[in-house]
Amino acid sequence: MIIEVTDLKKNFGRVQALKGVNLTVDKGRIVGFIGPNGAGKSTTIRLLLGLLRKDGGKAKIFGLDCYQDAVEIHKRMSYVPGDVNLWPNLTGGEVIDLFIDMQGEDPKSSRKEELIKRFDFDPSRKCRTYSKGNRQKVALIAAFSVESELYILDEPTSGLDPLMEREFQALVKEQKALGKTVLLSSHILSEVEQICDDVAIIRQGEIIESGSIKDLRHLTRTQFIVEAVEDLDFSECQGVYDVVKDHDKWYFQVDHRHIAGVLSYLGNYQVTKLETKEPTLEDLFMRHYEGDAKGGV
Amino acid sequence: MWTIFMMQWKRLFKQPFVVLTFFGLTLLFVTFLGQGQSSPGVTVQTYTTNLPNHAYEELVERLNRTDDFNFKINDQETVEGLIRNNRLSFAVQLEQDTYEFIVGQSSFSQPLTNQYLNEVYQEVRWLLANDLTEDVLETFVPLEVTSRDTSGSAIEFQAQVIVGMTLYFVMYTVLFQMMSIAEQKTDGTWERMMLSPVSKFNIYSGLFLYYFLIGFIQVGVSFLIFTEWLGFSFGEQYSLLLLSISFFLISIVALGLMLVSVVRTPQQLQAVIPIVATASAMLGGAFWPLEFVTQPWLLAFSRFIPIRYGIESLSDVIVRSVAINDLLVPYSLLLGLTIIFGGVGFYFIEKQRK
Ligand SMILES: Nc1ncnc2c1ncn2[C@@H]1O[C@H](COP(=O)(O)OP(=O)(O)O)[C@@H](O)[C@H]1O
Ligand SMILES: [Mg+2]
Repeated sequence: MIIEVTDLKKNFGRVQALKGVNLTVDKGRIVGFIGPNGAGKSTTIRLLLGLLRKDGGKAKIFGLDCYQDAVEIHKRMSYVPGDVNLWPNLTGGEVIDLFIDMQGEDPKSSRKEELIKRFDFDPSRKCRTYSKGNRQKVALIAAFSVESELYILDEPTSGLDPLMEREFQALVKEQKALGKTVLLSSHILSEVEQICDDVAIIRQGEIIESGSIKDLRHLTRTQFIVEAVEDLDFSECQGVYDVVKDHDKWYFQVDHRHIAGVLSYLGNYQVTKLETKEPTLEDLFMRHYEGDAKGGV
Repeated sequence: MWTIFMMQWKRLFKQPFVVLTFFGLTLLFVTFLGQGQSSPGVTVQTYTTNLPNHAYEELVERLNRTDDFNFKINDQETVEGLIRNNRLSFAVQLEQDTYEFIVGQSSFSQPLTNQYLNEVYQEVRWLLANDLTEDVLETFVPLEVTSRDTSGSAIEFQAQVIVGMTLYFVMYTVLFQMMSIAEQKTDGTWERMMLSPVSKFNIYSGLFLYYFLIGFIQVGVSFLIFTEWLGFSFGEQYSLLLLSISFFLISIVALGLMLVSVVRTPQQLQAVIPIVATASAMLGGAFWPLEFVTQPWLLAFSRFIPIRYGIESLSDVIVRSVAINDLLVPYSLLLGLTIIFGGVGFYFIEKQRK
């Protein structure tokens, strides 16, 4: 286990930012850390980085305490924040070198040149002139130029254009192939869905769901779209939710355990068209936050 | 540590203006003040009511046997008129074995004049009491010492000005350089540094080394230029000179750390630095001798001012050629201040990490 977080708590004054977060990241996995803005992703990560002091629970990386052994941990990992802060009067290239240097490697022998090309980055300008995306490139290039066992990336692509985003995803996959571990936070599911092995979903300072992407799909319901000649009646049928009728089309969701039952039940009707959709994480996410919306925040 | 250290230089070379400005100001001020000092000393108007003419002239001649003062013969009426019209801040009434000041407004040169007159009159009184002539003086060691001290006070004052100004401006340089910590704290790059595997100890020592060195270079080059341009002698005790400068600079870096730790924004620091630097220069004796500070609470406050001990120890080394044993007190006081400032600084900087 690379990251081990148990019952982690953090308060800012009266705000309970983390109410007991549990999170594990195994070696060689890419783990998506998903939640809307303000859910506590950055707070969790800042605790992992030893920037904040926890108010309860445990946070360990490589089996070391995140606060006490921060320096030891930082030697073996790289971090890219969403908001990259750079020294305004140094050039991008100088800052990349500085980061690599601080990480204890030689800037000349690293793979930074290759990455600068891949990200189509101009390192000769002063950091003060860089856009958000360019600043993120500095952090990404520096982070991936050095050999790290673990990459913690906190919404690292929020300023990148789609082309660069794809480059980033390719890079993350390469790290996985090399046996590296990645924790990638995001509030955009589609961004994470394609590259992650596992996800942990955080809401209001609590993990509400976690597991492999595959497992989570099993937990979700399948979307059915059915056209039938006569009216459908699901009152006898188990595992059917959210039935909506639109003209002659029926929309509903089916719990995966009951798909077979629903299909045989549909056999009783004259079905003219049947369509099923695998739900995306987006749907899963929506379902979790529906509670919120209905509760009226 | 070297990464952090080198990075500071890199940043300095991109924005050298602040440092160069304070360096230039040091040279300007000291050259100005230094030249002011080398012109014939303080002019003092005198008169007498009881002394016969020749005795008065003789006394004034005796008093003018120094480069530091220029005593002028005058009469009571003229002198009082000048003082009344604020054309003169003070004058002295000279009598056979006593003298008296008439003072219009207080002035820096008055206490110096008083000190000088006091010494000369002691000599005169002693001669009178023993019914001796001046020729005897040469054979008496104790009086030689007295008269050497007298001429020393002007050199000491010049040394104080040069040392005081240099230390005052180097405070600016170092503290303004340390503003980059406050800037980095607000723009988030400080945190980025803390996130690197470079340990805190190494970060702080890299920074410390840089601030220390930049201060040291400024003081060193200033002193060198004063020797070459103004012909000012800093004595022979180079190691004690370096040691005194070092103790002072360490305490200034600690002071800077404390200031950085208590302000919220770089702008606040920018406002605080001139206040702290100027106030401590005023209370620490960089602008005028400490004897001018008479308020007891201000004097008490001046005990917490590094520049006071910096000037004290440096002018002791320059003027009095003291041994290291004589400097243990200012050194330990500077060390004590370093520990207090540094302690407070580290405490508050680390406390900000919630
Ligand atoms: N330094 C701070 N001081 C006070 N409240 C904070 C601080 N940092 C975060 N919070 C609060 O903690 C909660 C979680 O924030 P954060 O971890 O940044 O969310 P996310 O990264 O998921 O968008 C939010 O309610 C936020 O307002
Ligand atoms: Mg965040």
